[in-house]
Amino acid sequence: MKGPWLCFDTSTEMLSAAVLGRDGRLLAEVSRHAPRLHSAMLVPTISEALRLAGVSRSDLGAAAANRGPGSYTGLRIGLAALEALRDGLGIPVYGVPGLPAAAFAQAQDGLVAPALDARREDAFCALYEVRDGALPRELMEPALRRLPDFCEDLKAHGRPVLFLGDAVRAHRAILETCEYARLGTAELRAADLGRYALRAREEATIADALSTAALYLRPPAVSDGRDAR
Amino acid sequence: MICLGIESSCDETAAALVTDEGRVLGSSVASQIDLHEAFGGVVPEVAARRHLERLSPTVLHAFQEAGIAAKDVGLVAVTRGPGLAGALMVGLSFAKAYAFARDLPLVGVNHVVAHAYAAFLGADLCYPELALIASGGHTVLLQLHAAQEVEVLGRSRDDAAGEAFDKVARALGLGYPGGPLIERIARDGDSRRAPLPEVRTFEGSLDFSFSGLKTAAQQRFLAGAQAADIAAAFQESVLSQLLSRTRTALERTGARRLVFAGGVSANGFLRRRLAEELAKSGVELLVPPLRYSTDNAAMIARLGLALYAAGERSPEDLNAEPVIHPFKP
Ligand SMILES: [Zn+2]
Repeated sequence: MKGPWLCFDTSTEMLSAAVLGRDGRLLAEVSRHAPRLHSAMLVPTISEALRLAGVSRSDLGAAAANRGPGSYTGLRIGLAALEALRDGLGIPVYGVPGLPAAAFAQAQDGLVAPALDARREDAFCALYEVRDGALPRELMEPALRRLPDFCEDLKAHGRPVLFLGDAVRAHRAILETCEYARLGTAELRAADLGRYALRAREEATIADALSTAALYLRPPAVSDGRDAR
Repeated sequence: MICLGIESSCDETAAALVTDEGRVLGSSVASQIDLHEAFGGVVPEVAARRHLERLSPTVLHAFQEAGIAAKDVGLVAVTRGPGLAGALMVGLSFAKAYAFARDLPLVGVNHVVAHAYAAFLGADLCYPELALIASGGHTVLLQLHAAQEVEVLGRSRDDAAGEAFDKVARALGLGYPGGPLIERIARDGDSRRAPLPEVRTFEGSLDFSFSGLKTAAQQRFLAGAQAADIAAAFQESVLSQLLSRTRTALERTGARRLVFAGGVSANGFLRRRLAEELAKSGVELLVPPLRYSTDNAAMIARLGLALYAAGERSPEDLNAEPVIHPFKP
């Protein structure tokens, strides 16, 4: 697979696009706070990232985007664009699960719980063990959970757990009552999606985790404030 | 020039390849009707999810049918509104990224106006044209002065005509979608046995009203009238309203032909009777081929090509417009 990678994330109010060299080196990254403007601004943001990186669209080797969880509309905007790039450029594309990619992006060894706010006391969350820069090992799969219940389950591990993602800010009060919770601040960056995909692609066991199907983690009948993003 | 058209405003995922002479090379429509049937209507989040699953395969299917390659396409046209926000954004995002990938111009089009252009797939377009568009979401009478200049002569003040078909079908216990079901049972009915009241008119206006018909039909049914008779009376009533507004519009504009498009124009009774009535005063009825009456992407491509020829180019930050005034092309 020749050529640099284009990566983008439309799963939250931050809209970001990055261009990576094949070795995972960051060539350019553009992020903007763009609530409700993802459908308008995704292509201009991609275009700007490519221009800053000095890469032409026809030189791209692959593209990757966040496949969820996150804002339903945001995920669809990103994944529809990802499939169009595949069809239009004839390059391979990867839908990257956001929670393990977030865990992979932080370097410290230990237990990591990426968690996204899903209103009330709920979060889209998972638990991973991170060690020696390898892909995170999944201990609890990504799912929609009541955060107090999730914190209760963590006790069984008897070790500190680093929380990442916007639930850290949205549910600080709940997490502060959990003795094992450590609050991280890291936000997922577009480049992290690409780095995760570059590595995951080599490991056949999780290769199908890179499909372009959206990971909503919640059935459609339930109306949900996240969709309004 | 060949245009790739993309449509995802409601419950059909569609892609088409159309030439600038209005010839359809390939047209693929993935319907979601089965998905929404149980709910008696379209569920927005369910629709948006299905659009994402089906869009890329639908585009591929259109290319296969056309037997052309990506490099043969010179323009991308996409529905930018009106419609369901989440559904529109799937098509729009795909179209924008596809145009970007191929370095092609992009034109966003109005879905309601595009319905009229379905009639010009295989027929010459000669401005100004008078168009009656009746579907599940919209009922409007338009005068098309140019690709970018559309005048609204009349519109529904309440339900769309297609919506009335759905609601009456539900009241008669027929199911969803209502249009074909009502047409079928009306064949065995007699409208005189269950006459419905005159429809409201609006002083000096060509606006429509359909919500009263639904209520009247429901009352007749509860009072013991036969569903077939009510269905026949309902169709007669819709016809008479469409005809009265159309006749006034023809007088005012001096038009010699009427385009009748949108899902309701697939109704064989309305097609035939409108054509018969208009022919009496020497007016021609132009209807799209049946497969392009309901939502499709060939009509999106057809309007996109007309707009492109008139100099229209959409900006890179084009956004969906779920609520959009019908006279914006
Ligand atoms: Zn329509």
